[in-house]
Amino acid sequence: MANNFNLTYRIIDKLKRSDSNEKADQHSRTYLISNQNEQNEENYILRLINLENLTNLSEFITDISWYKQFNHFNLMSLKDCFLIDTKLNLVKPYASFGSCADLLNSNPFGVCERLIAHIMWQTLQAIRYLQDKHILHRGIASKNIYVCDDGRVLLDDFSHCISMISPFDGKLRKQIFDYTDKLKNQLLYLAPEIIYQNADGYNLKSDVYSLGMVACELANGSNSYRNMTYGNLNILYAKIQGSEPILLDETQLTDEMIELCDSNNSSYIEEIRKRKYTKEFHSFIKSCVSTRLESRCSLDELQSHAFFKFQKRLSRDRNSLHCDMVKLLETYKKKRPINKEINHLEETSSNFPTTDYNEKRNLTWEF
Amino acid sequence: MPFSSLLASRSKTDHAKQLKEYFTVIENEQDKEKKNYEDAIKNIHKTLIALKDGLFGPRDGSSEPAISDVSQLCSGIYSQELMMTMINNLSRVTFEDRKEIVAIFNNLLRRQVGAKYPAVDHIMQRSGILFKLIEGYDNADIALNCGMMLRECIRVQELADIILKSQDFYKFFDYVQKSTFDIASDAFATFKDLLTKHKSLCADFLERNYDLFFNKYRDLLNSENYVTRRQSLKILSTIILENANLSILKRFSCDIDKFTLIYGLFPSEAFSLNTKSGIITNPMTTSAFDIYKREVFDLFKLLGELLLDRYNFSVMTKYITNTDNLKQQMNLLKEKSKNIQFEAFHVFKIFVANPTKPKAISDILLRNREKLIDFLTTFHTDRTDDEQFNDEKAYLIKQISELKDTKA
Repeated sequence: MANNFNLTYRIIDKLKRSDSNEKADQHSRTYLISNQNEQNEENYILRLINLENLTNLSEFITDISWYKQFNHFNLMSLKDCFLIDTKLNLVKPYASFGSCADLLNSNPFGVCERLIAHIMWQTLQAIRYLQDKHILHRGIASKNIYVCDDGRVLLDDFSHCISMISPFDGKLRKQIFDYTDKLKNQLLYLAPEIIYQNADGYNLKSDVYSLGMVACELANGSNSYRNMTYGNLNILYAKIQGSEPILLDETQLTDEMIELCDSNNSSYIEEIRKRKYTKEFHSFIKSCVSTRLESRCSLDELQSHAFFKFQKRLSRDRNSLHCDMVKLLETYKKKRPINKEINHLEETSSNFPTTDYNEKRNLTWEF
Repeated sequence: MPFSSLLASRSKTDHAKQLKEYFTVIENEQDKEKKNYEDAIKNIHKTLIALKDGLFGPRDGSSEPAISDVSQLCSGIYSQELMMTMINNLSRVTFEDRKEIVAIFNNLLRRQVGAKYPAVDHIMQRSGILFKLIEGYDNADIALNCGMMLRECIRVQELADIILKSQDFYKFFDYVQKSTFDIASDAFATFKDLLTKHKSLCADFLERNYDLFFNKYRDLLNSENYVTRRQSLKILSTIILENANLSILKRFSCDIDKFTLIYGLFPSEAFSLNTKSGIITNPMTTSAFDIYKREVFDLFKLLGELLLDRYNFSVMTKYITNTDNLKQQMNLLKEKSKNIQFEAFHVFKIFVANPTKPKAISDILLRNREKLIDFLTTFHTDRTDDEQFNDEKAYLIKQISELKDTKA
């Protein structure tokens, strides 16, 4: 494999996900890079993944092949993908605001309603594109929705994608029943009918639920099910019991909540007391996260929901839609990369933590 | 409503015909008339969508398409030779339309009428379709689409047979080494399906083309590309053990008791060991798997017995008597990548477990006896939870240390 890729990409900075943990860091590294062959030197994200640390290659390869099957303005694309030694290099567009999770990290009380409408509208377009291909995303989460500085929203991570077309008889299914162990990372956003794993199965409406969860999280500042006392078990229980997340604003603030408020979260309660979301937004959340499938909107119904009337009017002209969003974004901080100069790919490969190589590398056999 | 149904069915057969006409336009008038060409592209998109909806039913999945409509649609497709036309023009249509074509193609292949699969018969008479699909790997734009259709074809034994018997099969040795990661990986997936999906077919193929195949395969194992090396080792251990399975099946097929036991013991899941990631689906395998764990030594004895049988002429015995193969595997064992070492171990163990090692093989093992014992004792000591692996390792060490005794 030719190593001359090093010449065209230049590493500018090292990036870290706000929610990253030590364990994930051992498998991959993320860098901000620019392509020197391009005139405007646009920035990209480079992800370095050490394949040596992955036990199952084929699963990982399927994830990558999804990127090549999609082509939509609001779906993350894979610009380049090459192998240097045991490290796979993935080049993707750079989103300067990071993911929605990053956005929440710097705005712990949530972001404004109009921005949420923009993000939801664009994500909805991406999901509708997938629906046209009969594909369920299943991985819609705040950490997988990216915001670029030109107002473009990108949906990423196709590792949970599944086709509604049956792999057994090639027919289009109305319901699917698949549940893999991998899905448990997605528990916060999974629709209750997926969690039930019962004979009714689930369908494309389950993505709508996840979308509603993200919208709710963006407005409230954190996921309603995060930090529950018994972790995953409690999330499961709450969802199966039929709990539905709500938007926290002055209309939802109860005396009980004020009573429970202590010095830690008094500013948060204060914030809730001040804000009031429109009734369209409340109704949007309701029609997304409803536990009963009949009252949950389909993607097509959402498209014409009153919550999006502004986006729908502008949607003919992508520029004005994005201009509006850029204006909103001005008040938000861009994600700041760690300032650390790294100039060559080689350098990065060498300080990659590698599993201890065989000590007996100098061993020779006698034939 | 006889009138409306008459109209509806008529317009359905027309889809295939229309599509054929549009394709003729883009085949011939690419440079001549730009407008005609653009119109045809647009019309192809519309017709493909209509065709797909006809086959799958409405997008929301609310109702199944009527069988009579579908069969009319299909016969239109076959009579217009549309399958061939669609694949020939795959690189000319738009990105989205390529996927529509894949969906239509794959759906047709699955369609069953009585005991027959009409699309399979259709392709068998026009094997050009298969070769055209293989050729698709040369064109980066359509490689993945062709791969998807090709794997769908390979599910059918008759079609896999056509590919294995053709010279075009050897093109895969180049495709899997392509520098584009995603295309190479896709080609690997297809390559693996070809070699593992239909067990008796593959065994037959491998025995017949033993020299040519394994000579080429050696290049894959020595490839510069990490992924090629890792994947090809994995397939190798799968196929040679699969074939061991086959020769056993042949011999024991009359002895039902042994048959059930051994069937459970030998499938690749149980044998190729990746206990942690391997999923055991066959209930019979699961129960036999427990026996396997307890009686791993007996298993190797059994394996030895089976190999002793001269009538069980199989790819595996042929493979493990060749010193070049042993040398290669031993070199792979000390590869710096842990994963590659691990895969190589599973091939290497068969060389050692073979009770009728040719002199050349046991000589090599003997010459490296101390080193091998040393090497194996410290080999992947961190895999403490993988009982099966540790048992086998211990067995290999025992075998190697006893080597001299058996010779003397």
